[in-house]
Amino acid sequence: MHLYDSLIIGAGYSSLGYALKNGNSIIIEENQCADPNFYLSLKNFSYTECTPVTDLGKKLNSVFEKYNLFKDGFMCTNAFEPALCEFLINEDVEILLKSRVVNCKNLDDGTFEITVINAEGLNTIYAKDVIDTRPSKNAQKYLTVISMTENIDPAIKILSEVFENSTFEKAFYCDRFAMYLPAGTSDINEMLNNIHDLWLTAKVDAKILYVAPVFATKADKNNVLFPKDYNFSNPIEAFEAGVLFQGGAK
Amino acid sequence: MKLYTLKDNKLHITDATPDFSLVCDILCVGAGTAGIYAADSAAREGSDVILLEYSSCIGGMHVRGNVCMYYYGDEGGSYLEDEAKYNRDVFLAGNQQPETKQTVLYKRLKKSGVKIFCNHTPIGVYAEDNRVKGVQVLTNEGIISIGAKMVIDSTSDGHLIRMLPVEKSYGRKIDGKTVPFTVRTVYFANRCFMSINDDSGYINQYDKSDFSKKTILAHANSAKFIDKGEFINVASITGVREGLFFEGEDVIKLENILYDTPCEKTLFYAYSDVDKHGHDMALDEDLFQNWFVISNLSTVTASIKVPMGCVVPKNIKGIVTAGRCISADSYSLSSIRMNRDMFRMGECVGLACSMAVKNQCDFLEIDYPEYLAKVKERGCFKSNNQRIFGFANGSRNTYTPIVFDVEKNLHLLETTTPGAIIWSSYVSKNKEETAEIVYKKLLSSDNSLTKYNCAIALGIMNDCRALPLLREIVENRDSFRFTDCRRSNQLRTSIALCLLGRLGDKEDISLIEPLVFDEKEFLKEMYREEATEKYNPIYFDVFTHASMALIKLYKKHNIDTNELHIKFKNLFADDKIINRITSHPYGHPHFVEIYDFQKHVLKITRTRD
Repeated sequence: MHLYDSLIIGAGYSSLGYALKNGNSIIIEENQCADPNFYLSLKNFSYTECTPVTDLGKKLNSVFEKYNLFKDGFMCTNAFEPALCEFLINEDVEILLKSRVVNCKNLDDGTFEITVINAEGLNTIYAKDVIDTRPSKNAQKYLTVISMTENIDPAIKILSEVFENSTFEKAFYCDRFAMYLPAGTSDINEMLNNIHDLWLTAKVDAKILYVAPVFATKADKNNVLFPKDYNFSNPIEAFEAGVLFQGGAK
Repeated sequence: MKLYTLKDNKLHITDATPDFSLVCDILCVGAGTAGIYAADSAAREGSDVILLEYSSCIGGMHVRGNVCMYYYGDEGGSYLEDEAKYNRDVFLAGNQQPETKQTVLYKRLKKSGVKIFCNHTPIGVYAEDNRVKGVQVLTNEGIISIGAKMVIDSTSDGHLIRMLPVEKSYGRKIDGKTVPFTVRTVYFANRCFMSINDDSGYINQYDKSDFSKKTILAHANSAKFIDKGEFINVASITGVREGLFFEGEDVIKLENILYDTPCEKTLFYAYSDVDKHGHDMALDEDLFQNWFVISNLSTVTASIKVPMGCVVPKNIKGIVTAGRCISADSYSLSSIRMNRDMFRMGECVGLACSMAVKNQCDFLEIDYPEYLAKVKERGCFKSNNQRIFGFANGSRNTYTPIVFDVEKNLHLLETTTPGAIIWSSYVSKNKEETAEIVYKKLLSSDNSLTKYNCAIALGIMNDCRALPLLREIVENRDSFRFTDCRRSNQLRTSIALCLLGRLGDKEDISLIEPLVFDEKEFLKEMYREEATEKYNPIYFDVFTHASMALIKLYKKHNIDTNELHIKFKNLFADDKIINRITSHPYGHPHFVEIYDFQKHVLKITRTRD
């Protein structure tokens, strides 16, 4: 019965940074890919400068730079994950994809017994510490919609009237823009359907290119013991925060 | 009542008294390609349907897996209406975009009244006296239990079936290998979505570590497409093609397809070729080799009867499957998993389940004529039950048959497309008579192409008069391929090796050994043809067929293979063979195939510690 130092829920950059630095960690991710916060949810496209200071951070950054994922003040968020995976295959980190935590029990000796559901059915994992990087249930969520048009400003004007409280920014490629819509429902399928119907009525000169398959989380730095990806706007920064983090979050 | 779960891949049974927080007629678990149409179909028949989905998005491989239409699978059924709705008013592309399909499918389900719950993961199955009563589910709010009169396992990998006491196995019999998985990468160029289907090696989706590692490796390999155009994404669902085999009330095997076995109650017709991915045919079963290798019929399509019993686990009531996890062996499954067929299968299963619930009977006890009338009305069942089995042309409306009177078609033995006549020889009712006819043709011909074709036709009929010419083919080996098919045409040298392995004498061992062990063999010019920087397909093919032929001859003639084992071990020791075949890295299917082949050879030749 192996006892991990840490079981980390969520394969975000801070989780990976922490796991790689500290070792003897296992990461549980419910999706079938890493980076659920930037790549999968298309969190943001604007680039915030971050020069890595750790060796691990520099290594990751070099892969991102190799693929030109930071350019002209933007991030090619769409392409983060394969680049991240290229970095990960050369690192020793245990990640279980398509895995969800069913139950977490605090044992008498202070360790944790965690039941996880995945490809093998139910698994029991033991760890000294559990770090949960998932957003809290009350966290504000939003959905990212990437669109294309030759006339971005007029399109944004129309859409901002149709989709209340939405915000916009240019995305990585030219003629692309991101619309960030507050999640009014927990069902992404229902939300996509509503977006479709409203878009039709809006008669806007723009087409939807891509909609994130998961909600993104708005930054919320209150009551956060572990640096969580959604509080960062640069994956390298999130990664380094994980590498540099001292102590677990109980 | 019992609760069946899987713990560390082992079946676990406990007593249970569930408190069902939700109850319905039909619980459909898995809102994927088949599951959506199963749920919708049942709801339209008046059933109260709940549809569960593990992820946040409905649609499965068809949607977030980025799988678009494929040229196989047959037309017909409700999905055709949906295809017509993939407009471009809002979304940029039609069926190339997941969002388009997701919206259309959502509207369909809402219209038919299906209750959809995403982020719901099945973790257990409730059953009483071998009848499934419901499912235990993990949600974002905790664990709940849902009761149902009928459960449809449309999880694509049979996650509910795995929790039940039914016989299961995985992959090809000889080595447990399944069809390679894929990772679809999407990029945008010239105002079009372009999708790359990258066969990414082999994955065991039932092994948590293997699934995770191989997925990450495949995604890393997709990084090479980042600068191809405007990179959109790697599909968020791993493209697994094959799941477990479970023992059903009926089982469909390759021979059922190839010999057109009668079927009392057909669920629906699938349409495809035997879609082998990968190149390690040297390890495949004899019947498959007869079809794919020796007769060179890789792209021949068949209309495949899928029996109703294939979706029903043996001796278990109250649950059926819909999708690519049915009771079918690895070979036949490769023919019954195409997109269009999965839509139709889902629709058929949903309809049948609804009938079962309405009539308070089991799935297999529904009124079959009534079922048939309904599915035909929906367009899911070809009204023409005639078996269509042949080379299809582009429009698929006309076919060239592949089974015929050998005597009347001997001229085909003079061509580079002898596949159909070779197969016709194999399936002829009177093989002795056919062999005589072919042998006469052989003797009367002075053309080596014709003579060799005749030898192959004799060989597939196990007629040893083929041997001298089969040996000649191997001695004079070259890169000649037959040209029956639009892809995957086989090397004549490999065909001859395959047959020699079955029919050969002890003396043939010394004929074949140099192809495997002689250092000079790889220097032959034939191995330069078709070779790229990364892969040498001819060498892989000849080496693997020769190796297996050698091993078969040893065993056939009761020679201890341990000496052979030592020779192979020395041969493989410095990765020389791998390096000759591929420079792809570990994880790539070409690498994995030769690497696993080597492991397999060492395993089956070892007789001593």
